[in-house]
Amino acid sequence: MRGLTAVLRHEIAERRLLLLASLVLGLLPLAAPLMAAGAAAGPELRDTAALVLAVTLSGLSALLLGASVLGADLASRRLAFFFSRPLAGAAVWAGKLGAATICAWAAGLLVLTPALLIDAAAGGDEGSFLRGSLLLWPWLLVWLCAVALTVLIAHHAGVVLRTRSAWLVLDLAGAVTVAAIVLWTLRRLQYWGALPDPLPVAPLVAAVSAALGVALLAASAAQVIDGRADPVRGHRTLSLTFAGLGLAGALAFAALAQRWIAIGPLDLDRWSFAAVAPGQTWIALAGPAPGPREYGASFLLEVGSRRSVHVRFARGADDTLPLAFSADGRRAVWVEHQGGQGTSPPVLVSLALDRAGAMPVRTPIVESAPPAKLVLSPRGTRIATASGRQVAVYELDSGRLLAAHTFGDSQRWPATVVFRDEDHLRLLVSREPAPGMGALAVYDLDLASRRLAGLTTLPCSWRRRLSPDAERVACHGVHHEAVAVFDLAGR
Amino acid sequence: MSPTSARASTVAAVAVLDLPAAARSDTAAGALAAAPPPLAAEAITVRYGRRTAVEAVSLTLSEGTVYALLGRNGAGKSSLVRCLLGQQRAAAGRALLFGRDAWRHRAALMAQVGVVPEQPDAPPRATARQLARFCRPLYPHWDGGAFEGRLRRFGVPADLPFGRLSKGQQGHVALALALAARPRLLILDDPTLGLDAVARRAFFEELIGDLADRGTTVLLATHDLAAVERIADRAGILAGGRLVLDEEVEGLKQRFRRIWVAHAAAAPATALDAFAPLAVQETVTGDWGVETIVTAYDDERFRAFQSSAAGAGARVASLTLEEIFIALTGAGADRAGAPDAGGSR
Repeated sequence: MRGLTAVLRHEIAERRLLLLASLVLGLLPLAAPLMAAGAAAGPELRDTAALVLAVTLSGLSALLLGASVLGADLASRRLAFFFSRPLAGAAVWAGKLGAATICAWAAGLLVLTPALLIDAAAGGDEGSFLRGSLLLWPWLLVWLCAVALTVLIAHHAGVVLRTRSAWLVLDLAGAVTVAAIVLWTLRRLQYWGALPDPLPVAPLVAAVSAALGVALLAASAAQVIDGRADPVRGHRTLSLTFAGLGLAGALAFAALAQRWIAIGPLDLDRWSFAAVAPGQTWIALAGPAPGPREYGASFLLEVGSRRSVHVRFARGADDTLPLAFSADGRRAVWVEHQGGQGTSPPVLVSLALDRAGAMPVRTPIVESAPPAKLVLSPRGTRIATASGRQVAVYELDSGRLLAAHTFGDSQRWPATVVFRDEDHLRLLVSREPAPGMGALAVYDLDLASRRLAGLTTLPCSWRRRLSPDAERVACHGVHHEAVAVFDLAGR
Repeated sequence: MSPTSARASTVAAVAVLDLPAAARSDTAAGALAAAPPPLAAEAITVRYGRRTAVEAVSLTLSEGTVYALLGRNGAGKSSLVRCLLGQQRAAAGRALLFGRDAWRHRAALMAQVGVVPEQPDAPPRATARQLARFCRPLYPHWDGGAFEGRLRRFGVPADLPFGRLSKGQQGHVALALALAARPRLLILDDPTLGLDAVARRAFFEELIGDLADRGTTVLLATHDLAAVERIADRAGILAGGRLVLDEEVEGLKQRFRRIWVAHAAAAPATALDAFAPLAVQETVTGDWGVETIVTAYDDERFRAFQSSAAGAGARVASLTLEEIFIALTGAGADRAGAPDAGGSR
């Protein structure tokens, strides 16, 4: 501790001119109100000028001091002066880098001092801007951390550039490798919905800065403690520690991400969605998963064998999970985003449930937005999508569009679609011919002729259900408390 | 300075050193007999990439020894010194100061070690007084009065930044800082390099004074052979990274001699054969006869040589440390191959 104090005091005393200059520079913003058009804007202009000057000066000081406080001494062999004394390497490291950081902080604070004193002397509301800014603790903390991080980055760059040893190759290779692993992992997490797309900037910057700060701090400590006054050994230790920690951190992050991604259906915190396939051999499950906040995972689980497939159900309109099973229970189709969740175009994905070891296969069917509903034909060769006012039918394997229809403005909900057979569909479309008046239009769609024929209009207001053979409709009537069942065959 | 006055100065310096040296021997024989040596190098090897700068150097300094480490530029002196100071890690071997590993226990050991570097390395913006203020709390036996006194004797302004001092003054400040800590071991790495004759003399006078007062153990790596000859008990010569000689200075000067034989006495070839028992290090043959430097001189062998036909009329002269150094490491040695302390050619 005695050694650390001695180095710290010595290094700060060596930079006393910077501190004095900062105090003098702090007088400049006091002249800012003279340039203001109105008297009312004067104090704010002065405070703004003081803040800008403080941030600039502390940033520049951090850059210059960080790059020179150890790096210059190391390159000129002057660091040996400290290592010829009874000083622990840690004291030299902490004393020198600590002094650089303190001086950079102090330079910023000293620039603010005259403006703060004027504010205090004026009293009242005048100057509340500067005082208010300083009292914004998160920003003050960000500034303090940013200055400290700048010192560390400048130190690292200073040592690397001054030493120019062959270890520079490791620095570059390490930086590229770590960045590649981190970016790849972030993309994977985004792909599986563990991270939002686009990534939130502030938390990401904070996380990367914290990780970078820890790695730089450890690397600089190792460099000084182990490298001592030897520039090449110092650079080697700095590079090995930084690259090693960076690589370890990146791999740990990748491993953690893998752990989050490689979960099974039983790892879900709870089930927020479940659907059973016909034949009851497969279940679709979705729910919050262990990992980042708001991370949810989806699975298709074969009940008998407990085999599961981790899937990425895309959420459709009205927060639905568009998923369809064929009537024979041999095929499942759902919607996934091609890349990151929420931003990339949605594509229909198919899984042959009856083939052991089958993996999800992307179909050529790409929609502009996830549809609200998916309906598979009885044999699973065709798929209907209902989204907004539009209904489309595709051949599943080829992605060929067989028919599409957009209903009028009076449609309220996505259509209810039932395949009567591979070529014929029945559609229920809600309408509101007049405010408060509900109606349900029934259509038949012939895929061979692409003809859409209106069958009837039923006095239904909401909640309708079509029987599996599409011959009967149950719905709430105009009066909500009543449920009506209509036989479409008899009309 | 005339040769006479130089000799007088040397004699005076030796006389000053004689008494404390004897006192030191008495002390060493007593209480400190079992104490570990202040400095020991155990097969230290230093490499820079594929180049070996120091190769398996071993040496031990007992309490109170003044050891001159000699070597040409690039011989590995500074690398060895950095290892001894725990500033650089040896590729193999280890340095021990007072029996403790210099690399592992550097910080603790430096409290007993004074260092004067080859290039003055103190922070350039700090004044001598500020440097003393920095060092004072770090050393248990800091002698601020002695520091100020030395600055006065050297004529170094205490309030001028170190970077604005002349090279000689910087060297003096470095010595004053090293001695103010009252170290048990002093390690000086070519401290007078680039100093003028006056500054060099003042430097060594101060060092001699301290040695006389306290009997400090000293390792002095230097090119300044004339000055070293005045104070060193022992000398080691580094050549090509290897310690090719490690011996008492007096013994060294005793066995290294220059011998001349006139041609009239014998044919050159015959004379060279006759020199063999004296171990020839270097030979120069001219019209006037043969001049050799021998490394195994003693009076009895020389008398036997003189009594031979080839050695009739032979004359002998002592060598200075500088002449011995040149004979061992100079161009002649290069031609002869690797220097050898017990050289026989």
